[in-house]
Amino acid sequence: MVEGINFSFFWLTLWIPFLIAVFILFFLIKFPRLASALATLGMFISFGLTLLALPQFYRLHHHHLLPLESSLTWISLGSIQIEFGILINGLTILMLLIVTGVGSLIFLYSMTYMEKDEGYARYFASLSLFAFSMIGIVVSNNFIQVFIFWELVGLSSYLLIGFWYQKPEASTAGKKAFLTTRVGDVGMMLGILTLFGFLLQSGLGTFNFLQTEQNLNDAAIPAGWMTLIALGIFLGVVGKSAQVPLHVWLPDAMEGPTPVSALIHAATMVAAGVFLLARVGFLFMHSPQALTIVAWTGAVTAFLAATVALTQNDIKKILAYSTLSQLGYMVMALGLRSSEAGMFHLTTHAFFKALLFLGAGSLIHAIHTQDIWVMGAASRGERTLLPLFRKMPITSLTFIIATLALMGIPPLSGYHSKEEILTVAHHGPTPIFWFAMVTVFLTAFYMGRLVTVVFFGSDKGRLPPALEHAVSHSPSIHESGWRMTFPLVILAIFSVIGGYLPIREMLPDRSHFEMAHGHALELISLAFALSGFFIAFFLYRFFPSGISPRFAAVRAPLFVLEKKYFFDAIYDFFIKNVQDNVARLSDAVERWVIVRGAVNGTAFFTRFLGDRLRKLQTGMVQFYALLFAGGFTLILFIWILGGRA
Amino acid sequence: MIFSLPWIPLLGAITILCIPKNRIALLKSVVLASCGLSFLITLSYLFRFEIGNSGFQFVERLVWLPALGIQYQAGLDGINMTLCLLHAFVSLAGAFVACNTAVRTKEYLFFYLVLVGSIYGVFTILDLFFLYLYYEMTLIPLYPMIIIWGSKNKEYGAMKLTLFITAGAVVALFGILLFYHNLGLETFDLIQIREVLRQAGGLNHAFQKFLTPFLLLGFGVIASLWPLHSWSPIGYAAAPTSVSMLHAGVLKKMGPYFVIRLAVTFLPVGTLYWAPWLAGLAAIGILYAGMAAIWQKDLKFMVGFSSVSHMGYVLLGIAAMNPIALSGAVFLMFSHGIMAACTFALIGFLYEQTHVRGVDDFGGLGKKVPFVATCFVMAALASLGLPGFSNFVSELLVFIGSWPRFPGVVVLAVFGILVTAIYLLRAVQQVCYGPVNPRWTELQDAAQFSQKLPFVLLLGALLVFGFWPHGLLRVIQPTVGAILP
Amino acid sequence: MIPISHYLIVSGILFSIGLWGLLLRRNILLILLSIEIMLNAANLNLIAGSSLHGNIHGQITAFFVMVIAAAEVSIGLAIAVLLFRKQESVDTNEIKWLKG
Repeated sequence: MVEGINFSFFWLTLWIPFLIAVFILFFLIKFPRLASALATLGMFISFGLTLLALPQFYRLHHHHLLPLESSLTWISLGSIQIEFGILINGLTILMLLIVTGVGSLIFLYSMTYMEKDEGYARYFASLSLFAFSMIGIVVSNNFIQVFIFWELVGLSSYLLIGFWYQKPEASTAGKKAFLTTRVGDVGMMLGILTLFGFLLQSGLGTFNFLQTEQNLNDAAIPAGWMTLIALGIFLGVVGKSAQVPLHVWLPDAMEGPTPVSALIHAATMVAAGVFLLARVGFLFMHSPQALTIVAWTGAVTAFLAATVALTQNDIKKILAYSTLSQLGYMVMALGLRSSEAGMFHLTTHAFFKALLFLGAGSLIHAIHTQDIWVMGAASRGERTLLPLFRKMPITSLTFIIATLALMGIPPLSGYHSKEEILTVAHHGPTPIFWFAMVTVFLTAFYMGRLVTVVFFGSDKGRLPPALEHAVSHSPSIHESGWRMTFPLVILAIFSVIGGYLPIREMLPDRSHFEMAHGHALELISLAFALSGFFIAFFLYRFFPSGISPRFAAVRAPLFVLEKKYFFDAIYDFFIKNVQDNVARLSDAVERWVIVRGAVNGTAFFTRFLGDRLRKLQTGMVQFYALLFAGGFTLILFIWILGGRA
Repeated sequence: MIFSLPWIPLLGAITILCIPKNRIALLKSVVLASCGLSFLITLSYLFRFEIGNSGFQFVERLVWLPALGIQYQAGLDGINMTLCLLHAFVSLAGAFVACNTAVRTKEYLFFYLVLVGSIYGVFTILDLFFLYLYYEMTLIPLYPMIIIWGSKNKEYGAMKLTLFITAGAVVALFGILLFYHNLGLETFDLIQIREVLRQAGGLNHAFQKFLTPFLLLGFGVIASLWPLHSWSPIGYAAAPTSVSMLHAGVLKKMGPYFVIRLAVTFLPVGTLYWAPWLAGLAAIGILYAGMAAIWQKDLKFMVGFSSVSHMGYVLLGIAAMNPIALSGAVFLMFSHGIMAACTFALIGFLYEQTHVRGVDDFGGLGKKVPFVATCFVMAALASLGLPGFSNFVSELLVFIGSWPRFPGVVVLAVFGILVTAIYLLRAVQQVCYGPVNPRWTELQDAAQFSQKLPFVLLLGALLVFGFWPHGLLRVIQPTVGAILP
Repeated sequence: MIPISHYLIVSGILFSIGLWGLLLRRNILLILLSIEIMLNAANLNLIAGSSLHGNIHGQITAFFVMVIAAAEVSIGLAIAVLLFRKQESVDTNEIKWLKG
């Protein structure tokens, strides 16, 4: 007999960050150092608790006793029960490890990175709130709870993107992120409502994942509606995981502090969409059409984002587009029914993308710029080979490791997960496979460009005068403290060995189907990656001022890329011309039709009538008496007549 | 004991008349004491409330005019318990705000207490005659309060608000009289009427269908049912802060309260018959007022339209006529009332110091007045239905409950949440974020306990019931379940 | 025995005279006089009714009317005096302040 899992570990993991966030907000706002230490400690405790639960999990997993759940009734209204609970299976544990593990490293990193900021305590309160919400999504056992935490991660993302709220760009980016993801949430809400409506109709009304999964067949939902339900929920994923066409918020979200970008906008929150797809995969299994749309959305996102990344000059923007592209991969894998490949890539991606962002943060912290050209040029004055490597060896080395992992170079972690996705894609529709393959090349190219410009920059290049100025004012560059380098090293280790961790074994074997790993595929993708990297290396090493001035033919496509396929322009156009006009129209209707026309019209009519009737009031008593006498006579007359009749 | 709820503030008002007008501190303490005492009594009722009892509790009765079947009878069930609690929170918070009135303080506080008392009356009385009497009584102090202490186009606002609500009341009175005569019971006793109707199996269906529109329209005016809402943004913009708080927070909820108490309870067939119209108008109201709010330049107008939009959800929940949606609607009345009061208190706090309240007049308040700005952000988040605040739970219940009957309307309503987010986040950004506006270097944050308390009280209530919605739902649900056929 | 119709006719004539005076006279004193005549017409009716039915209800009412008439005349005359003091005239054509 195997004993059950100890749920108190998970309840604690969930609530510790929340309690810390509240505690900081109420008591520690004036004591930033204490606040940061407490928050980081809390995160490590959450991580430790998850680790402690791991042996129990493996024992249960081994005996196929999962999933297990424990829940409280949160709302109970007649036929409706809304629970607040914890669902434990491999997916939960894996995601918990990522969130708390990467999370605690990033908390530690932030202690140095944000040290001089006046909102230090507020930062850690928000970050703890985020950790709470994210863990909440992971452990949720029902749709409503997921939706609740879904909104809460949106909130913490909003607060953290707009952390430097005095910068108009930051507050605008926060607002944009919140609203764009909310578009998705509307879809998700409607999907959940429809699903529940159908379940209720067949007498099986529940929000619980496991029960829904069991009842889905009995509920006999029509196929068309099933697709709509799945797509509604997928719309939420599109918003949160920033898939085309709701991806526009993620690049702007880079206005937030860099550790936030690493944790929220690369490793965890944006991956929540992928996680949710894996969690409610059973819904999608009932709707092949929805799955096709999911796969295509992922493939298109992967490709479009990778192309846009080619032209960006801001290091965080490049990484943001890269994140979009990789999320596209994961979504695509799930669309092709392989939650295993998707979750595997999610895990490795969390390691190396967090590492890339933290590395970028380390560079930004030292050089005080986000522009890759300025970064590269900042150390150019000293005629040594690879100056950045000398000054910031750990950052540089780990950054290169992460880049290679992202490109999918063996034996690093990214290689394994990407290979798996490509295998899945290979079994899928051909166009999707080629989208995925081309994206491998593009990924290598933009990362090659980034690395070349920043680390291997040629000193022959010319910088525009504005940049010259920035460079001459850059301070001396050095690594910044163990709390920033330690997370880099740990993440680098995991980026290297991540592929060999027993990740796939943790996942439920629902969608598990063994695929032949063709060596040809590996070689082709490797060739794509390497060629992309080296083309970029030579181009940017020897034409450091960029390629567009030299090749007229690429200008038009480059323009499209620089404008990011006009998504923002189209949305702005829509907001200006449609939304604002509808708003203006409503206001005008209110002002002119309802108030001026109906309400004041009535008032005017009343006044007009009163003005006329006023004429009867002569003020002469005898006139009134005459009217009175006449009226009375008339009534008497009618009464007598009536009495006769 | 339950009689004391309206009478403590009313006696307080009389006490105020006896105090010389230069004894400001004494005047204020009378106001705070009477509102605080009513608050505590309401809380004690909440704690003593018997869960699971669907009928009226704590009923007290005083025969007044037996010939006409009029008695002074009061009691609480799940619905008016919730609303009394709402009023207790808002009136106490409003009392702190009202005490800041600088000119003609004595008169203002007198009117304030009369208003508070008569609202308690409306929410506790269980006799149709006194219900209507207290309801009309709430209108009396409003007019002078807006005319004398209001701002910006106040004559027009006061006139419009009073006329609209009175007109609605007249239509409703007509309906009530028709109801009374048709009933032929010669009693105004709501409990007795309900009992008799239950045994008789309800009124004639054709008559119900005829009568219901009078009640829906008449009380719809107070609930700012589209297109009868236009008094609300203008009236709130004109009213002084504590009146806006009470009006948007509590008075407006009388509309849905009467609809539930009279139309839904006594005329279920008629209400069911007209429900699609109600739901349709609610949906239009949600989107239309939301869109109009996007375009407002004045914060109070924006919140005014926002409250019209939110009342749409309440009306939708009522129109669905099922226990879940109706519980959601009652819960939303509570949540929205608290949230609206908090927002108006915040705008009033800023207006008092700056004498502007345009959306783009501020900027950078997060830096300048962190406490107020934090509350502002929280109130906005509550309003846009963020989980953690009770507004989310109540809207969710309205959606879940209304979905089977009006799926199309619910789709529109869910989009309404997006619209809400648009205008609120825009306002938050322009008011709280960005660089500090140099015009307001003198701006003071809420520093004293008495300045902070109203906000803490209101936001605290939202959070408590947002995390623990069952605390109120268990009170609401049995009653709602018993009302519906 | 004089039939009841005679009383009624006389009272009708008296009432008409009073009404005629009330409507056409412009002097406020004469208007008050006319009102008195109308009241007395009513009194006559009441007393005639009383004797017809053989009870005293009508007579009692007539006394009430006389008392009220006396009160009314005293107030009316007081108003007339005040009016005269204010505008040196008792012509009702010149009393128009009640006009809205």
